[in-house]
Amino acid sequence: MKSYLFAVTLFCVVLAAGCAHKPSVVSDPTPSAAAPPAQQVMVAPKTEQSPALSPEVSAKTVSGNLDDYQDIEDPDKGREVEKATIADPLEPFNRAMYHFNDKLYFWVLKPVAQGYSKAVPEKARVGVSNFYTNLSFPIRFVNSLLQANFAGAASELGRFVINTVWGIGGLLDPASSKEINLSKQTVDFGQTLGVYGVGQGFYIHWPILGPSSPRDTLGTVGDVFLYPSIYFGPWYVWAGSRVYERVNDTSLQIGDYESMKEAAIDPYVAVRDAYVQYRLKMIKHKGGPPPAGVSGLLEKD
Amino acid sequence: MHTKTLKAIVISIVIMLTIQGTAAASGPFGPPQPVSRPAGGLHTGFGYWLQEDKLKNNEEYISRQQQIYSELGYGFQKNWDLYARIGLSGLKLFDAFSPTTTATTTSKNDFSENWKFFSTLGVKGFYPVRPAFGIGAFIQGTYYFSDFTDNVTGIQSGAPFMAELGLKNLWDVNVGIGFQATIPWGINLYIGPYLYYAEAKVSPSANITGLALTSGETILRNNTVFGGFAGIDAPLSRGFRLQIEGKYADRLSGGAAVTYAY
Amino acid sequence: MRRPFNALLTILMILLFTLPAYAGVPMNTVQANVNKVLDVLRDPKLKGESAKEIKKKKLRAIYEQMFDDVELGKRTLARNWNRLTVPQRQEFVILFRQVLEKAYIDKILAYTNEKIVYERESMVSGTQAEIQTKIVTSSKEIPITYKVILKGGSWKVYDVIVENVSLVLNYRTQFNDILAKNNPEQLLEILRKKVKGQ
Repeated sequence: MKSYLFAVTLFCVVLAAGCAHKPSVVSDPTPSAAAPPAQQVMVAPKTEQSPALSPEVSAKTVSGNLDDYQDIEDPDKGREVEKATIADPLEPFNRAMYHFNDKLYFWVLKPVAQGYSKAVPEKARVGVSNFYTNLSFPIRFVNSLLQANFAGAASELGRFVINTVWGIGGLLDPASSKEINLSKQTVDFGQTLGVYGVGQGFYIHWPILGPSSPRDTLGTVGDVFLYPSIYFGPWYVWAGSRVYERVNDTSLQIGDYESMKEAAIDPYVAVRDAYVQYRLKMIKHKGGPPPAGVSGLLEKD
Repeated sequence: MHTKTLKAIVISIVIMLTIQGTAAASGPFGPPQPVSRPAGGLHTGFGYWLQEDKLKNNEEYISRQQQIYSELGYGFQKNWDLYARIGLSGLKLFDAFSPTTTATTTSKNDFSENWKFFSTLGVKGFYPVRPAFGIGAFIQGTYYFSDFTDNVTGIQSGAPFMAELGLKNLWDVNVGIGFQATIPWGINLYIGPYLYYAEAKVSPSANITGLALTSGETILRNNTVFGGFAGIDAPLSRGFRLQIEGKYADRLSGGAAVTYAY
Repeated sequence: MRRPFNALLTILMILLFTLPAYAGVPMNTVQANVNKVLDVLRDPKLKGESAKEIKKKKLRAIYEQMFDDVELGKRTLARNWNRLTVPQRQEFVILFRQVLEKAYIDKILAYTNEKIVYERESMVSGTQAEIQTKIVTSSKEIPITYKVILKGGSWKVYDVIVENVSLVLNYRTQFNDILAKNNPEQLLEILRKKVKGQ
């Protein structure tokens, strides 16, 4: 559920370091063409000057040509753009819930997960995570079928058999190894509804459960019935199991949420937007990997 | 240091077997060379085995067991492997209920029950003599967690009866050596002799004349102590291997398994 | 253990996988830059706290070659770019870079030998391409796509998509939201505070 958060925070591993010079330091001229054109910037007169550039910005730190900073054309003019946006009529409620979840993470979930991760070695926690992933096979299998993705359903079935029989009941994940290479289908009922054409609706940020929408909430409820542990004993067995699963997953992702908050200007919006993009792509690609050149769907330039 | 580990393992197997008693029908021995990657590899497997043997106390009885099992093994110290299996087995004892006198008739002749849990523990070591030839040794034991029981009804001298026969404390231990040759395509062929001991305690609920096994608490033991085994261990695609093995002591047994080495 | 007929299959697989990715200039450029980063991160002479600043400097230099800041700035503000004056735009670009650096530099410096797999390159147009890669960590694989544009003779990154979430779009939504209720100078003030505050 929180995998998209993990995703957002992983920009870090990719970006080849932020740049820009520290505020009060005028560093050496960069190898790029910054230096000579930068001189022009300060010299060229500007009539309607907004308040002067903040003291931190010295001539040498501005990158690119002056020309680059001209007005741009409306990037959306003249063509269809798939807007990765969502209506947020419940924003005050959502923000409050987001704030609650934020506190829940820092005050409860994170300390528990940290204590747990000190007591249990990583390999074991990865094993538990694999076990739960294997357990949720019915969700992925049924939803693949509902989307007529038979290859995906077959792949999921193969994963389940191999991981259960040869993966010690799902604790290990040989099906994901390079040799066997059966890919996990990222599908769920909310995504199935999306593939059928049901729209997102609007944004809801549930306490504890996190970002959602009416369609995805319905999807989550539907998937509960495909999750095996609900059939083994009273409801609190299922609930306890889900809580443990959540703690275990968090223990493997400590630091991701903090990074995302650090990187975001408005974390609430960042979370919402990441969620929307992630769900949109999941529906476009129907749970499989994106075909080449398709990511232009969201933004063509 | 390495013989110490071996000793510790052998001792623990023996202890496990003697204290807890029962095990039976060991299943395949597997190729002499461990399936796990050397020094710290894990392997898992799933197999089916059909075991036939002769057990006797005073009489001889032919036993047949069908089992399915799941195996987990750990490779250590370069060419050693410690493995454990857990599985379900049935047991059929032919003519257990065949009456020996005409005064007794029984509803059926064979003792049969299915689906009892068992576990197997084994350790093997392998010594590669040449790139394509090696020798291995193993010790393997099996233990049954519960007992097999079966009922028989019939008429004895005009009076109807019902008797329940329990086969309890089944266990066995096997020790042997194997010779392995590797042929092209990564296929291993292996063959070797083994010694074994298998035992089951017979516990009848009533003494029925004409049914030999109900005469009292007795022990059924294996008829022969010596046998031979042979098999093929061949690579399948994507890291899986197929293992087919046969054993012959008094009777022929055999099975197949698919293993995966991590 | 030899498996000749499997070898044939493997060769076929390799061929199939390398066919679409004619590793052209865009992918090579990205790969070269990422390799430069990895060299800095793995440099045995730069281990330890004292070397951190040196590493950061080197990484900044690589970043400037690899990314197109102004393009990044334009795309994250989108329509709102026109609402800023030129000096504001320049400051925005700088502040945005600083925000990203503050947020991610420690994570990048914490890199420990995860493997990076370059999967394929697709040309969206004559001057735009997408490079699909994957980072393989101990517990999962993370797909990362770089979108590059040809500018001034070299291919520069203007968006990064991690597990289906685009960096540019994510910030665009945030900036849109902020600029709906604030004016550009206030946005810059928020960014300045963020760079200083944390």
